[in-house]
Amino acid sequence: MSNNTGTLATNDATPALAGVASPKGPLSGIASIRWGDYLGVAPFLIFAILFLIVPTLFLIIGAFQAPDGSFTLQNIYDLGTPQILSSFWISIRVSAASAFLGSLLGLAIALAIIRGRLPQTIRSTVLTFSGVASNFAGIPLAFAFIATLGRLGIMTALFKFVGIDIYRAGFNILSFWGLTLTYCYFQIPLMILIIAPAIDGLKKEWNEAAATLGATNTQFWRYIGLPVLWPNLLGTLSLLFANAFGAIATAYALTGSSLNIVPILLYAQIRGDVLNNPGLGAALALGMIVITALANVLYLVIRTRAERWLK
Amino acid sequence: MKSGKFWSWVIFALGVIYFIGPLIATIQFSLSIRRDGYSLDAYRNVFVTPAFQQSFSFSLLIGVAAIVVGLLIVVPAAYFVRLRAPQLRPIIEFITLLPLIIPPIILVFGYIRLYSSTSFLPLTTTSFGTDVLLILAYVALALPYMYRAVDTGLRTIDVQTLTEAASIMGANTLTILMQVIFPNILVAVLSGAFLTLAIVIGEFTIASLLNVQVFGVYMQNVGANRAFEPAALAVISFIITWAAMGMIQLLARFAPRNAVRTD
Amino acid sequence: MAFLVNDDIVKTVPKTWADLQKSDYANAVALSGDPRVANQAIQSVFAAGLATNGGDTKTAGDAGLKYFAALNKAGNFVPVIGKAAPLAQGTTPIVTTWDYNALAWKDGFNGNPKAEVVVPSDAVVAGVYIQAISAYAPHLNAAKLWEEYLYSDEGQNLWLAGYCHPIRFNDLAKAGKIPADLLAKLPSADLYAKAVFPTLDEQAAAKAAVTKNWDSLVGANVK
Repeated sequence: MSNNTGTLATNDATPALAGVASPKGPLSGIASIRWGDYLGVAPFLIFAILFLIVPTLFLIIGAFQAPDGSFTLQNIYDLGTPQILSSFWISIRVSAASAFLGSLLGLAIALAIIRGRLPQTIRSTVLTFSGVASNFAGIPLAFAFIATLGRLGIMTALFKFVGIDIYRAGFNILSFWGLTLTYCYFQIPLMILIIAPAIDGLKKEWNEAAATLGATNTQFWRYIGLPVLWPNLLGTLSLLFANAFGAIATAYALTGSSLNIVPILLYAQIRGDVLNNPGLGAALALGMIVITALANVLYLVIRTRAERWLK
Repeated sequence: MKSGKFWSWVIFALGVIYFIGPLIATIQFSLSIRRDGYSLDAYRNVFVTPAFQQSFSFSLLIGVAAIVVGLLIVVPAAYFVRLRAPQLRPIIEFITLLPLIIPPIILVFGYIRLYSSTSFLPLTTTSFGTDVLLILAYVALALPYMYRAVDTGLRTIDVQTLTEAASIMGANTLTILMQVIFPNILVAVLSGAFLTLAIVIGEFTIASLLNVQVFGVYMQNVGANRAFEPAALAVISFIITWAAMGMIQLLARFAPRNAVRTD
Repeated sequence: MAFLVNDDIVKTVPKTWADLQKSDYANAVALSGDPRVANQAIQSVFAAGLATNGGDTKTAGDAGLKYFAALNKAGNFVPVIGKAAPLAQGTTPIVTTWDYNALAWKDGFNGNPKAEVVVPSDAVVAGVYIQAISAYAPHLNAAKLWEEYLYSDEGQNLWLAGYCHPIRFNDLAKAGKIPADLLAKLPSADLYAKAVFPTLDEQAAAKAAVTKNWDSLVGANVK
């Protein structure tokens, strides 16, 4: 995606100069500078308030509303039912599994294409493809995996041709690990896209310096490479987790009625033909938001710390 | 390190199998519409349907509108935050995280409740108003990516110097933004634009709940009732998204790499 | 409620709900929706229950859950949501769905794959769709006019063209107002002779039972 090769050039415009040069002319004082600044940011803030913050507040209030409109904590209590708790737990497990797997495999591929001395075209092709694949989710993805690794899938058939019956060995695409495998299709590319700039930041000079001091490749990675990448890895792990947690369409299309994850429950309450407890739906959404918010905040915090290395 | 290169190729090959495999399966299925061999009939059926043409062009239109509105909102904000009000940066960054945290279904339900016939801004009562609401929803969804792209673009040019130089020559803020800053961040802007387009083309939840016939809704409909056309559609949408992303990579070659030092 | 069967993959076509439990149909049977959410799926469970408990509509929901739990245990049930594409691809060669959906999808296949619509003989459940007009509608009379059209002869025949049995079917048939070619395309009328129309209360009871207990009783639980 973006090339974050940290340049030594001016990044954050030096605030010291900000108050001095004023393009508005000699009559403007400090007060009007502030005013003008905020005017430029105003459309953004207005938009954010009207179309992001207020709907969210609506949701938060809705979580505490009974069907007749009165304040209640019942919806939050209802979150404690075994069905809902288990759905949260399953969601967390699937998200965590696909986040771990996705970051590990994504890291491996990113390292391979950037530092593995493969041809340069491979790197840009993979990055482009990652951009596309990270958005390829939902029914098309689920169908693609069913068509590949389902009982009548082409890869299953290929394996059978070579004599291996994966289904008899216990594999089933319609299972927890099948879903995790499918989720990885958009998790791995996301990991590649985010970690690529960080790997770029591992300067060649460090390799050379380590080599002149007698370090082997393993030692380089153990004492320099991994510690530098580590905050980024953790941060991206959180991001991948949040990404998987909110994904519903793929899970729905793949494991349909056998899997009970939170977005499906949410959908059922708010959108389904049958149940209709919007307060509970709002509470579910609140729960989801809290979890994804935590993961995203973690990502932000870690990313800010990590970016110090890249400057 | 010879072994390093070997393992890189192995990993790359495994990656290729994992990612291309499902695509091949989809393509193979989409070509199997006739009993007696492969054919492009499914694709032809798709392209000929008026619903496909209408929904696709409508989605493109909405996408472009979302890009324009997004730029109008994001570019001035990013510019001013970078230049004069860095203290607002944390707030802005938090706002750009919101779309990643809030499930789209919640967003659209909020909109329906807030902007329906009894509100101060009754957008859902007319079909044009609903389209406007849809565009604004997509701007919200794409906000993180658009902001990140514009911010990166601004980071690589020397905003301070450019602004000062322009204002010394008598430009007001509007002129600076439109004629000096914007052309310089064009490449970054385009990358944000393509990402927005990719999001808009595939989006389903918000459009379906607002009852607007966009491409995502059409795909879902076809997916429910036809056997081979959905696979063809998936391939088509994959190719289109790839083309858009490919353009980003191409244009990224022309991006200004370092800030211009004028000393 | 009917079955759509992929003839290319399924060798012996099932004729009843009881048939589906046979071992011939391992990894074959799917619902056309999520039974915790979609009415179509819930009615399928209801129909299965009706077939196994001898026609008692009051407990059909629970009986249906038992049926599907057994189906799942036998390995016949596929948790994927069955639509035209998975049926054609082979993941869900038997889908339980409304007859109009089944007939429409079969038409769409155009022979590839060969498919057959079966109305199960041991329980025929009819689902009813209704429309409502909001009292706050900005154009109330236009809405009413639309409803008038839907229930006119022309409107009802349009439903029929989509393979739906409209509510005035018997009335129209008696008056001879249905075009012969439309009639010919529908499955024969005697299959529907024993159709059961569950009451609103029965439907509500079934919905409550199925949505609440599907995961615990049937859920192919996540390993």
